[in-house]
Amino acid sequence: MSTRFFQSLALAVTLIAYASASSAHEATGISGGFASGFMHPILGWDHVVAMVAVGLWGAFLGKPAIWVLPVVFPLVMAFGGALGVMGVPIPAVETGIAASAVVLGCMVAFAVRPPIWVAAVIVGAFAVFHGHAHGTELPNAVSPLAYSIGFVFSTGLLHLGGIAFGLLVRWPAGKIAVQAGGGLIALAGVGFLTGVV
Amino acid sequence: MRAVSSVIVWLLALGVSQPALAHSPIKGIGDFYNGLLHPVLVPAHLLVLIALGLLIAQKGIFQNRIAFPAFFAASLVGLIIAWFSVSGELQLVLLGVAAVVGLVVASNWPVGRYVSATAAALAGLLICIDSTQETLSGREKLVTFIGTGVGVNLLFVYSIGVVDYFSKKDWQKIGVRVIGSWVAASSLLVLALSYSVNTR
Repeated sequence: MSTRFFQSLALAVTLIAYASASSAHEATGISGGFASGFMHPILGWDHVVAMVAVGLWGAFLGKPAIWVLPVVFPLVMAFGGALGVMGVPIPAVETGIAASAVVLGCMVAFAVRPPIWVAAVIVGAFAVFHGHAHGTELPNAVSPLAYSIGFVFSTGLLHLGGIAFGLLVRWPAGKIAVQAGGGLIALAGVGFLTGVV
Repeated sequence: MRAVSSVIVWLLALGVSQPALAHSPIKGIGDFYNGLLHPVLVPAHLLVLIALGLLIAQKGIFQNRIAFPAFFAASLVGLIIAWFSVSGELQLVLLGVAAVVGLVVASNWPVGRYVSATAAALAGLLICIDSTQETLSGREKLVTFIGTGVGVNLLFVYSIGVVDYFSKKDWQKIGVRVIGSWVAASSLLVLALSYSVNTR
């Protein structure tokens, strides 16, 4: 009896192994990795506002900041991500991300125009926190390379959104709108810091 | 009777196992097109080809024309090596190449035409060696390899052509550098992950 039972059980288990989930589309493999990486910065409002602020500030400062900041950010973010991947702890990562929204938002709101290297250092310092947050998710990704391409691409597109909005500074009313945008970002950052948002 | 049922269970269990592939071939399109699409389906290959396109278009197609025969010859040698060998894990080396080329593009570092040609040749060689088809043999393997050779070379030329076409204006040149930084960042992150896993 028991032999027959185990044979039937083995047969049933084997047949179950043939069955696959019925999905309209698969969120696995390369596409799943890319999609989850792409969505990671977008699903966190603290990431979104800070990335937009980087683009805004770059556009506000004009050349060469408009391209230096979006080039510096992903590279330094990769460094922060590497620290996250390797498990090197950085204190108060979430606070750093929220603070990035406050600081970068204020820079835009108050039209602060430091030398380009100072702007690059400020943006780079905050990029470490953002990269660390993304990097800690990387080992769990289905396809780490697709995940990293996704989140770097997504981050770049958020910068681009900020730059596009920031180009309004060419007009007086646009400058006011951009500075107001910086103010809203700073306020959102305060909300993230205090836990209100 | 018992032996027969055991054999059935054993055969079913064997049927569950599938060949280990880097990615699943697309069914119904044939060997040539599976080979042609191979570099598109392997993110590391695609990333290196994009990085090369950015580099050569940024430094000037005419000044770096030697990169074209270098890439073609190296890809041919790579396919011949792949035919006779089983691929090792070359993804990390390819990502290393992508990271370096991406950094050169992002920083707009001036490099000579021989450096560009060497990078192109190295990338072509590595991509094709990494395109081995362990589950195929004979005519199927040959057709797939021809497809891969055509696909890799077309993507190399296309990426250079597209980047060159879209890098005439100042803001487009900035865009090239930004994309270079994305390529470098993505590659460096995965290299860090690999280093982290290997040292644990």
